Amino acid sequence: MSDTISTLAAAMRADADAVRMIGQNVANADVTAYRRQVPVQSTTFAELIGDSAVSTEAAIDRRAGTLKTTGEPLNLALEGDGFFVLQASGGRSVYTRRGDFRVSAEGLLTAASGEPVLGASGPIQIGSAIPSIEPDGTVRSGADAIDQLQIMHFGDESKLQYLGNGLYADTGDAAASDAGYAIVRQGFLETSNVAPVTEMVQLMETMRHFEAAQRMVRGYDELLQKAISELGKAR
Amino acid sequence: MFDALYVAASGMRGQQMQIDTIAHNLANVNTNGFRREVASFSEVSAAVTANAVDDAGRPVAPTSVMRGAGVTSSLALSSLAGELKPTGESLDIAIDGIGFIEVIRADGTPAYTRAGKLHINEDRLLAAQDGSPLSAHIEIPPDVRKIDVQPDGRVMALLGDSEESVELGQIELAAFPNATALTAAGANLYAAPPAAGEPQVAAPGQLGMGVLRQGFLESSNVQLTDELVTMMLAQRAFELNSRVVQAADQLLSIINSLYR
Repeated sequence: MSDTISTLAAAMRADADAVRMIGQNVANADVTAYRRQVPVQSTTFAELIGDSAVSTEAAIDRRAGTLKTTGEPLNLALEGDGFFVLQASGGRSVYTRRGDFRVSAEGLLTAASGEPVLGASGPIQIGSAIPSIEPDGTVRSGADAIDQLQIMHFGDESKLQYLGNGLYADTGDAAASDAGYAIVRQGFLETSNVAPVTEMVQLMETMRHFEAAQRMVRGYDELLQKAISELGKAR
Repeated sequence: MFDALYVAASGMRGQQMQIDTIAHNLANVNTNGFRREVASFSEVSAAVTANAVDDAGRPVAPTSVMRGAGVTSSLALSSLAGELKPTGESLDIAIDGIGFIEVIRADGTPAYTRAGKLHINEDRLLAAQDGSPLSAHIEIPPDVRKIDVQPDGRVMALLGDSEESVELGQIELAAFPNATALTAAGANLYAAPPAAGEPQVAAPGQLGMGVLRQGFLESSNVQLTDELVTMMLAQRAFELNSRVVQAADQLLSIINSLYR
């Protein structure tokens, strides 16, 4: 009997999820190299015959943001595809586009989230000097080349597992290789790919859809009420 | 109860901090040796946990996309040096390089500064603007006629009627692995928390410290246009987040009106 109502309730829940994702995008619009989440609403056959007819999943919009200049020597951006390689806890490699690096108290080049950045020969010891970093990723302190940044490319970025905070892990099927086009730009950061107009339009659509679903619930509720009070009347 | 509200509120909080930071930077556009602060943002998200269930009680598969929970912000110092401007004063010292001058504060703890507007304090020690003596402990005799600060930090003086210059001491510089973690301690001084790392102390000109320039001061590294552009963006981003808060509020109101 209540199939229609629970279907509509599922639609409303899906819209509320979409609003959360829009909120997440808007809140993270200033996060370096943030990739926006796209709410994707889908219906599966199993869900159709069940009581939850629609669900929202987040897909990641993988287009790169634009580069903005900051002039800070430890701000790096990747032009082209490819990811910086970081050493996560347990020694495994994770990947990021987020190049607002810093130097740890021990003098190691690290990501903003604290993981050491990997060069060709492991973590990169910078010390207290200000390094210069060349387009091919060579890190120099004065005239001496210390190391070269590792840059990884993935044939299928959609297979990367997202770990949050701009970090990705490769579960083995993303076709990793170290050949590809990427230029390291020192003194630049990649912006997020959030476009306010897209988010606002999506927000409007979602809100109206939500209102429409609410009207439907009310309409159906009235229908049920009529059915119960009118049809049941003994004449 | 309704995370879109919190997510957007965290965005508003972040932008507010951004605007506070810009105000602080703009207020210090003429402060010698001032390093602008930079707000940086990080995404907060949580994985769908292994035992999660959906609203109908069925288990949810952990997805490749994390559930967004907003944004956090943190502050760091810019590592760019300001311009060196000539003043002609013999006790104005600028550092042409990465080092900081170390001073000892009244409570005995060290602090660091790029503002080389030195003077002689009541104990006749060479001191920073607030009177904290340099850790090099350089005493200036009362009959000093002329003070010369060499690029390598040696302080030479002509005393009394003598034509022979005397070395009074050497100013040393300290460099940090992570100078962006230094925290402002007032009076143009910076304190060094553990995150900044162990300072390396050396004479100017050694270990890439940079040399001293007498008669120059480092101006603030705040760029008015950059700050104003960031401020405009922050205001609009704040507005954008507030719209999502409004929308989330409207959603809640619609939900409450479902049952009459």
